[in-house]
Amino acid sequence: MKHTKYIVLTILAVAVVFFAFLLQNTQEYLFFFREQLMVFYNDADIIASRYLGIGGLSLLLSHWLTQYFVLEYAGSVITSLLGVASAILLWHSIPRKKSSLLMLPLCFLPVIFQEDALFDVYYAYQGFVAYFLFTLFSFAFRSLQQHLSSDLHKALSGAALSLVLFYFAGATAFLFVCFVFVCSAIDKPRKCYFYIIPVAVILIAAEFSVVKAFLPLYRDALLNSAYYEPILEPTNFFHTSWIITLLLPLFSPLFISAENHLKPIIKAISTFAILILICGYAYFSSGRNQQKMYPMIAMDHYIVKGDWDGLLNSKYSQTSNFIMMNRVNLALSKSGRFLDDMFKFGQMAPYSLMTNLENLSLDVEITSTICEIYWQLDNIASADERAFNSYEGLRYGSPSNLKMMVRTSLVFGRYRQAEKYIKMLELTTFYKDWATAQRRFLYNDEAVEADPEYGSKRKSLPLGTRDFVQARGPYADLLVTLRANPHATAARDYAIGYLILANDVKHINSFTEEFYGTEAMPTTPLRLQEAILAANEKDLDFCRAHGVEEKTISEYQRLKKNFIQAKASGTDPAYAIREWRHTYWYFLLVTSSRLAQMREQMIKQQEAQESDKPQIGAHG
Amino acid sequence: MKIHYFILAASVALSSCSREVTIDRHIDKTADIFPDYVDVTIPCNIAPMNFQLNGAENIETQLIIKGENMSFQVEGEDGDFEIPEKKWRTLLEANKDKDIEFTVCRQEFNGEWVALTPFVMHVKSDKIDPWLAYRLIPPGYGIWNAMGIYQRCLENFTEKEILTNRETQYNCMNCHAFQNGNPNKMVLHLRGRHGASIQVEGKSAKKIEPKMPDGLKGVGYNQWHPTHNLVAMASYKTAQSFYANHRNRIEVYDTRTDVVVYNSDKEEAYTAPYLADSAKFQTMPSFSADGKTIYWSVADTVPNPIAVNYDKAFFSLLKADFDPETCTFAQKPDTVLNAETDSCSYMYARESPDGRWLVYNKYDYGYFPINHKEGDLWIRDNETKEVRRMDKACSDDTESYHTWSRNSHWLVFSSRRLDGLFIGAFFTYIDDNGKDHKAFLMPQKHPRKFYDNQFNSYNIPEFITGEVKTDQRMIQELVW
Repeated sequence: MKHTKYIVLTILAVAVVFFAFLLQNTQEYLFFFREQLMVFYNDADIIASRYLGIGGLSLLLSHWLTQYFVLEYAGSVITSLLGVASAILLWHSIPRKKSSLLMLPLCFLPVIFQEDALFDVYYAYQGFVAYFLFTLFSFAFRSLQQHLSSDLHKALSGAALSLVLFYFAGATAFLFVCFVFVCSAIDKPRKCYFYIIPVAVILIAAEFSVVKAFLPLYRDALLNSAYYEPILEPTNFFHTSWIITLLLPLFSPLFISAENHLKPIIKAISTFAILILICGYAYFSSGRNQQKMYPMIAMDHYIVKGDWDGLLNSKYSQTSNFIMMNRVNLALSKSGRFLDDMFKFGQMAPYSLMTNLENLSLDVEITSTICEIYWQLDNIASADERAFNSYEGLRYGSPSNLKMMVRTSLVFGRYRQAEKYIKMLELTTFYKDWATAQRRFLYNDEAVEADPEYGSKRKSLPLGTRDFVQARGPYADLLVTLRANPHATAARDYAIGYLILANDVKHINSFTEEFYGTEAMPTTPLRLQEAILAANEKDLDFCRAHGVEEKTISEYQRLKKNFIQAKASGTDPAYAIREWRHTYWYFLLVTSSRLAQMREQMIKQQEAQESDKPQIGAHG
Repeated sequence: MKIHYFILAASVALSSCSREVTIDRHIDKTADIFPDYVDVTIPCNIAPMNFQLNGAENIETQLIIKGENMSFQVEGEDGDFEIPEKKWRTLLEANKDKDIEFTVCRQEFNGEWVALTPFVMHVKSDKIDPWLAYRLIPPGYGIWNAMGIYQRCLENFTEKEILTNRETQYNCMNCHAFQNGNPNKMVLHLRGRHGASIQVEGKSAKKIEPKMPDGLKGVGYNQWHPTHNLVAMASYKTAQSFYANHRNRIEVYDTRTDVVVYNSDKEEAYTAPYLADSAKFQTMPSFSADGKTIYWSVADTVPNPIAVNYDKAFFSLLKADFDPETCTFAQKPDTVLNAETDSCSYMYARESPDGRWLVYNKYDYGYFPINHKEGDLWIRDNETKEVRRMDKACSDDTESYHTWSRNSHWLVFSSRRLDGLFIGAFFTYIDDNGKDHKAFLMPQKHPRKFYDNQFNSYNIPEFITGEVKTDQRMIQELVW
């Protein structure tokens, strides 16, 4: 008995460390991301309006815990502790006449599937917390049983607990009553019919809740998918954890009888062996469950933290995906390296700078940090619009979006709105200091204008115009900003980046003619020199008159020579000019032409597929 | 012994509840309160007009309320005064068509009680319709999450759901309208997934599918006919753009819009050439009080791109005779207010139930006054044809959507005056001469906290004469 206690404690300690380590390595950025998908307000009225209702306590607890995920390691450690607590409570809830050590590691299985479910950002952390509450109530029920003699009373106590759990945690109450029934069927098969009472009670409660519109669907009253994004259809995978939970009591007698024949040392070794097997499964399954969104989620964490070097040095930055490249380019711009280093990353087209959000307008999770790009480019109206949309679209808000709404409101001088958002942020634990610090700008134009960031952004606002943003494309918006504020360097560099990624010769020249030698562009950035030269190679006077340096001209001539020679000799021209792979010329001569080829191939493939399709009526 | 403790505790509790203070000094300073209820005109059946003294955190405050033959005090908590409902009701009952006086007092550091300059509220015996229906929606731009149509009892603080999008997978819902404020007769629309137009009658509901003459699918901006099962609607295609830097944040405009009258008995839509003219934008229809006239707004279409030329659309207010029996329209419409000559837009014409007044929105240009800070409420005397701005009701910020109470004395309207963005529901009294009175914000139990925490706008406020008892589940089953 004494040994068993130590073995159990060792298992728990190992499990806490293992799961914390595993979660940190596989879901680190997901925890940060989850924290950004809600704002927890320490305010009794908001708590009452948001969390009073069926499942409200589990939602409240999940949000309260999630706010701490902003801290390094907090997500992994909290989730690991909750998971291990769930496992041990579950172990204690399974009826047994004597200790069944072998069952303990098996009780981690449903927890592992809960943690695997958390890989999907659309599975709410509330589901994980609700599972913990289920184990807590199961344990309470098992403890209560020891004080009750009548089976009817036990069943009625189960029914009462299930109703409380239904109100606190929602659908997980159905798992509870099923679990109680299965356990009673194992423990006292002849009396198990009493335990139909809690099942019936929860089914009636579910029916009532749906009919009375407290819950929209039966899924929300009875299944683990209640904790999945309501407008999406979860796969059956999300039921695995619950199914295993219900199967575990069935194995209990088997394991107990096996243990009776084992020596203590063999029992201990077997227990650890099962634990290792289960941990091994958890380790390998975690790799399989990694979501495609994860790199983007990781980048968003760097953006929220403002860790631009971290983003650029992360393994995720080598990508050509437009949405991720938006983030890479933002980091380049923030660190002042945009034009210098842009071709060190996977630039493909102007969309690499700003994705067409029209197509992504409903994917709020993906676009919530896009407002940072607009902010960086001094397109304050768009930053405000994106931040507000994201905040509202995310159901429970987003602290970063709310912060952005403070910033944009201050720049516009919409102080009453800024004050409202500041008050909201002051109700949070981790953002209140930042919010209070913004108060000095309220109703104080001088302070706003004197602030390096806000002041510069305010200067970038076009005056006396009824023009819209995003109406004539990103380049037009960038020009508006640059004309309003010649010191809006980020907007200038993005405008250049936009033109050269679009290979827009006409506007490369007009941009150069308008801005070269002005406050906005006293000298011509090297990337633009390359573009001017490529566009006007027969008019070197124009190039020289617009800031193209002799060194650039001679480099271009050397590159051209290498390129032509490689083509003539039949060698790969891309290889021949690899020395210039981080220049616009390489993008123009190699990347763009490869993209064009790829596009042609895709069109041909599509045409071929179209012609392979059976024609309607062809067989009629 | 225990009973003694109980009596002692109870008397301490009671005395703390009913603390009364004596004024030591009066100062000539107006109380800075939220909401601004100073000198407002209120109906005799309104919920307690609770308010908060600004900047009174951690200060002892007291409110003295005086009416005819009645006076009581309310203790403030950080300046927040929650007036007891029972006393308030008695007070209003005893002071119909009289004034009640409010004296805000605060305790100074030296312990003396200082009274600020008293202010009054004017109580009218004309009752306000007891319920208000509205959509609660964030003032966002095309993306939303949770929204719903709610109802609030104006005689107390009860708020209930009529329909929320939790039941319909978070889709969009809008344009709820009631026939003569009848809570048992409503139309509304759901958009996107599970999109449908729904007519609710008591506890039953049906889908309605108006077939539009121009083939457009989106319908909205509903207004019921006062006596027949007819709903005036606009069919439209809407877009929106964002100002780079302008006092108005956003401009919403239709790229096509026509007006129809939908007969829900025959399930047919009717229109006239001038209501569905492709060379014009026709929108926001409504019926006159007797149902024999239809009003709507109309502007010439503007050259493409509309996103550039939107500010060249000026909406006039037109009307035409209408026969509800045959659903036929007069040969020619009449111009009520000419936008071309006045260089502005007129929208949301709403005739008072007694037919005497016509209230509408006037603003600089374009389609939706709700996004125009210069948008104001104007009133027209249908007998004298005189028009004037409703100065007492209006503010420097947006005033927009409005509805009349059944007794033609109260007007509810939406306004952004709270913070320039989030829309609140305001009420103004219209007297027998059509004169508007200072408007008041919809009362709340703890207004400062309530409106600070509120992240929704009160959209399309509509008076209703009773509680709507819709079966949300039934509507869900209807549209899924």
